[in-house]
Amino acid sequence: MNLSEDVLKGVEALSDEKNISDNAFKNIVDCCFKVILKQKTESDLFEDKSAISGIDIIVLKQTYSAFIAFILELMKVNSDQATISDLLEDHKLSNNRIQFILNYFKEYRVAIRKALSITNFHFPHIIDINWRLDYFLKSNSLEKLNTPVYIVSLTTEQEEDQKGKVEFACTLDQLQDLVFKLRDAQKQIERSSIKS
Amino acid sequence: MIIELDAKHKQDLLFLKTLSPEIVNEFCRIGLEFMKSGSNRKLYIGAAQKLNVSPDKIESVIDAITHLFSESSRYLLNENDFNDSLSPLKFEEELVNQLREVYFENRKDIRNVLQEFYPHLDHYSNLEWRLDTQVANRSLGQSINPIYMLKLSTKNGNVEGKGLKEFLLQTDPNNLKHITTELESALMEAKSYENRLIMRNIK
Repeated sequence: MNLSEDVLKGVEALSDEKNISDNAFKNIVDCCFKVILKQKTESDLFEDKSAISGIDIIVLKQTYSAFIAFILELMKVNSDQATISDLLEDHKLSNNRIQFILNYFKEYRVAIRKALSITNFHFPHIIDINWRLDYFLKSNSLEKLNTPVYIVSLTTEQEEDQKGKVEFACTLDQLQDLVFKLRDAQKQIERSSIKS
Repeated sequence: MIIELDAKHKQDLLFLKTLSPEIVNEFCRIGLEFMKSGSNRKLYIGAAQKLNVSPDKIESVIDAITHLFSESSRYLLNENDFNDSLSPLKFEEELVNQLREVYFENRKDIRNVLQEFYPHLDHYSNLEWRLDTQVANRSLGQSINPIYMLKLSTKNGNVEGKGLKEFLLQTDPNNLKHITTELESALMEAKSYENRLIMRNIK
């Protein structure tokens, strides 16, 4: 685990029940988890004055960023509930608050790790395929061609909602070749999983 | 099916009558070359000097020959049709036979060249794949994420090493399975009864 002192200090601030009321505490924790899952934005927390009343804005920002870093790091190494609990206890959080945070971890662990796994760069990812079968009869320069031609369109995704397309044509033989190679690739993963 | 040559081409082709078989062969060769890689003015000048005619004349004869070959290939003329198409020119039988031989020998190549002229998409050429398992990244450790890396090559036209394009793509096992089954069904479609019926009826 790689948590800096600033992060730990920020987390420790959450234990301060005098300055951070239970209600505000819940709001902060809730917002942090949901920001990571892109269900909320930072401003939802900072602009809702009633939710965070009485907290110094600088302390709030420190706590917020520290807690986000805290969640990300724990989820990166996939710490178990007991480790998280111990860690929070070390930083003087009350049992109630620890339990509250642990519940969030329990609920969102899978979702956060999923979000983290796609927070990465990659080559265009094929997510769908479309094909069309044409029967090519003639063109302006050639008659009596009469061959089937496939047009294949691959839909790719680079980032979320950033779709791309790869289009190409193939003859029957070429498609046969392509399918053969894809089938081989598909079998490979079965072979690998049997071995391991 | 007979192709009709227009007056200009007929006139140019008549010039072949005055030439020896070797030179006609040479003309055919230049004509085929012309179709594959475009005109070559230098050749015409050389030939013009030898035959003592203007380079323009040579060029128009070559034009006529290419026209004859490409039209015949376009309609896939058979032996008789080819002979009949040339009959208005009243060529000697030997010359007709000679031209026809060149036509049949090169018809496949010519059709390949002609294929380049219609609007078409890049064609599939090759697929290379690799199976990776991503075990960690900056934001996430302890993960197992199988990824297929795919290198898809497509080609535009039949010319070696030209118009080649490469796409680096990736996909996951589920999508790969989906793609494979889709393409398999595409293959099956070509072999289906309805489809063969259509193909048989379009002739």
